[in-house]
Amino acid sequence: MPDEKNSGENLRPLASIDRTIHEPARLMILACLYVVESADFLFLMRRTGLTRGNLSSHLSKLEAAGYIEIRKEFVDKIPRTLLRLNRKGRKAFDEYRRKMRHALDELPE
Amino acid sequence: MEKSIDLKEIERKAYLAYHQDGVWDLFIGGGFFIAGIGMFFDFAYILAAVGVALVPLVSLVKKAVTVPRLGYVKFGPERQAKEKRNRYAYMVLLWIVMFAGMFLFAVYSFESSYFDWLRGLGAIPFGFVVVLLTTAGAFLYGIKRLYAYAVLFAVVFLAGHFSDLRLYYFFIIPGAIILISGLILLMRFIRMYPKGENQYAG
Repeated sequence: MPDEKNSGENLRPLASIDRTIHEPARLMILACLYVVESADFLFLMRRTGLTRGNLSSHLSKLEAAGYIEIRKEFVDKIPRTLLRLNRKGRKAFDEYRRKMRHALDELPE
Repeated sequence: MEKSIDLKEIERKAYLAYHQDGVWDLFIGGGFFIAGIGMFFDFAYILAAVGVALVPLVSLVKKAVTVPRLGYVKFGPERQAKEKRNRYAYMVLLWIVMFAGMFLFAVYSFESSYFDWLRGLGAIPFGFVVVLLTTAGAFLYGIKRLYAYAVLFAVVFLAGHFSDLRLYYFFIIPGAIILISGLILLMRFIRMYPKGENQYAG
């Protein structure tokens, strides 16, 4: 069955999708960080709509994967957690988008 | 399923979120309203000068109201360059408007009949300048409600001119409307974004 074989080939790139990024909440976080130079925890919470605990947990995973940098600082004696997507994270996110676009474009309508 | 993530739209929405606080509306509306009141009591120039002096307050208010509620973000180099370009473009426009204003002031001061047609337009040239600046702000910064304010100014200045409305109403009416709009936006913003903790629990 050539069609089935073809479809299998089309879907193959999906198997190598980065699962750390593919999770919807983390995908939102990365998309937000991708378009800015840096943002703080509150900004990400507002933009993604995630709860504090949920966001914290996803940020830990992204940090563990080496995709983001987390810096804590004080501004006017108020603690601020600054987040930045590093080069590895940007590259991984670009790669993820490329693979997803490729796989989805190849699928029949 | 969406094939691609619209990063430009994400960035644009993040940027525009900072302009949903109504702070600029309060300053613009308040400025016009106070100028109108000042005209009524015949001390508009002093109030206008005070209004201009208060402009730096906008960033302080934003720092006190907007950032603690919405969070801090540093936009990428592309957005920063665009902001810089917009600021320069607006400055150039302000200079042009200032020279045009000086020209108009001179025209209104001279007794020459050569400019009678211009004097006959009353406050319309001033209204045109306000509409131009508001539209430019809407276009450059992507804040769509400024287009509505531009239409409001155009309607008030045109209707006011043809209905012989007193000059201070040209300022008080749109000023009050923009002021109310700013207050509604600010209240909505404060309700939508209560002051949150900026702590990472990780």
